[in-house]
Amino acid sequence: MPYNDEHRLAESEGSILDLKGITRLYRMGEETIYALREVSLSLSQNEYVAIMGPSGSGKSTLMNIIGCLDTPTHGSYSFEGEKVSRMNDRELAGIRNRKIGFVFQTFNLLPRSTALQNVELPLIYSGESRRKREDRAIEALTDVSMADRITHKPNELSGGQRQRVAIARALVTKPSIILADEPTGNLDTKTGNEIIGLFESLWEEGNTIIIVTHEEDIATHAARIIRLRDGEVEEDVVNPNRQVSRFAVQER
Amino acid sequence: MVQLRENIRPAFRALAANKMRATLTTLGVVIGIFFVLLMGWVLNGLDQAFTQSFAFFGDDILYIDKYDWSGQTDWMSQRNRPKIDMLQYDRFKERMLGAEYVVPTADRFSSDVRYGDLQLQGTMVYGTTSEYRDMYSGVMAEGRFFTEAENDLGTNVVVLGHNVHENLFPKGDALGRTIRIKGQPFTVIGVMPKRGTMLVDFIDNMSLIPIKRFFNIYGPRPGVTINVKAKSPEELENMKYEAIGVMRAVRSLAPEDDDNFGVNSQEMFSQFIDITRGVVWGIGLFMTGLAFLVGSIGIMNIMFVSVAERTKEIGLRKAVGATRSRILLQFLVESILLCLFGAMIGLVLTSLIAGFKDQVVSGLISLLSLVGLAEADTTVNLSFLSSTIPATQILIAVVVAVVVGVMAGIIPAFRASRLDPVEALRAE
Repeated sequence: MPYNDEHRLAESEGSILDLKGITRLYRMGEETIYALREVSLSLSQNEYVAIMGPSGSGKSTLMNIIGCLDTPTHGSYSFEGEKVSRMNDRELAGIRNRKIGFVFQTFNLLPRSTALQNVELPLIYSGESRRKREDRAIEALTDVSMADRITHKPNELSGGQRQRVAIARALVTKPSIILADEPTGNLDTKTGNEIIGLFESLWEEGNTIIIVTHEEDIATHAARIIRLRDGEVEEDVVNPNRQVSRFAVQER
Repeated sequence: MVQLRENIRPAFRALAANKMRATLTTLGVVIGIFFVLLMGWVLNGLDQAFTQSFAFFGDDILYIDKYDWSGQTDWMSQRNRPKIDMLQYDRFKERMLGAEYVVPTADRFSSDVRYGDLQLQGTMVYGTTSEYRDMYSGVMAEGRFFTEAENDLGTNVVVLGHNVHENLFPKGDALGRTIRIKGQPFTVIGVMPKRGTMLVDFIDNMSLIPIKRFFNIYGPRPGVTINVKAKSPEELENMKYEAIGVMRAVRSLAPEDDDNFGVNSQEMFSQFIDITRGVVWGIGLFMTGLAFLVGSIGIMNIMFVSVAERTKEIGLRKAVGATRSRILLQFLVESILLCLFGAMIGLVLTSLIAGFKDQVVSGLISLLSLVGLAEADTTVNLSFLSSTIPATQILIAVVVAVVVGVMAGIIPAFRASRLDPVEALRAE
């Protein structure tokens, strides 16, 4: 079933983010490269979207723009009604801090900090008191079943555990969206499935999740799949054969 | 302030991860701070020593003498000036109305002051008048000073300086005894307390006798110094002009003639102090500057390395909401901590030297004597140096460390703050 116009119209009221005609250009010497070309899409509360595409399709650029790490060359981007495409560096940092939770392929934990300190990091930048930071970080670590590992440093944790800490870090600010870039790329299949299961339960708890991936297996769990090719949206559909993760069921 | 605190812990962690590197990097700063503190310590000690030493000359007394004591004028050209004799003194005193006291002194080095078999080398014999005691209050420890009558008669009486007394009469029973100066018998009628200071101790090595007797013994050759005391320190400056005028009149100098005498005061020594200070400052500043230049280049370098190594971390921090200023602050704090760490080592080193100054200097001397640069038994009086570093010096060192930290860290920190988060996250 295509994600048709009337569907979009019906949802535009409750949308979290709206991208209209987003174009991102890179200049490489004389050449101009279109990383994204006139991309438009919107996302509602509690969606579970997979952004797919081969390398060079522009999915990383799209993720960076959605994540407010990068700004579009043309087009408008609104996040919960705020015009992100017109924000300065400081305001973008604020949006990233409060509204977006990042999960990376390489986890990106601070190696010399404990799990707790890693999860606290976004709260330091939002200026929370030390007590509140700790309470909320412990809460987030509990949500990802890592409550018994809070004093461990990344090198004392397995890959799956590290990614759970990273997910806790993304959750700790109670963001509007969780943006995961190839979150299972550095994990074996079994651990990867566990992480996908975790995303699924987070979704079921009401979180909005965007996963960028090139693996069909991962994308099948999402409720909506956006396929990019050569910087353009090739397909934007409701996932017809969505799989509920067995691990997610087991978790409960 | 909260931001600062949040930055200190990770900065500590980052530095602790590379202890060896951090220590080596701060070497320049360590040396710099070491010099700053050492210099401050020495200057402080010198200042104290100078003020104490020269306070003895009095802030309300002029010394009119053949020579300028400041050393500003060529010594050789002053040699041909006429000496001041007692006749000129008498005329001067008669006309010098603005002064409270006008007292002559004449001095001679004497190797011939003896009591029984004891003979003193290198002491001084001073001739003066009975007014000397009134001019310098607190000049008597025991006994009495000579009277006007004894002065006029040229009686054989002597008042002993502190060291002379101690050396000739270890038991302290000098009063009433007879000593010999240049073979002449003198009765000890008084003893002076210790008046000398570190730099000016000749005063304790002198024996005071009536000036009339002095010229009897030593002949007319020694010149007189006229000690002129103002009624208050504030009037010293005015009195100086009066004294110059009177002295010129006494010597009948024509208006176009230069003064052929010196009018000296305690103030002249401050010039001497300033020169010494200047030399210490100059050397210290040069070495400190050099050390800090090397030190800050080292720190800047290591901060660049630190930024490069943690590019990915910077990307992550930006992704989770760190603004540019937070990143800037983080690396600036790290650089400042690095410098403060260096300052701390420098402080410990300097404190050790200050605490064990005597051992350090005697060690240096024996080292120098090994290569023949010093006599093995040389002793140095270090009492003018305190055995701790003054708090103000420590404060200055801390401020300097922070300034160097900011200067060395600002460019790397700025570069870190400007990193593009997408690029930074992609870094390995």
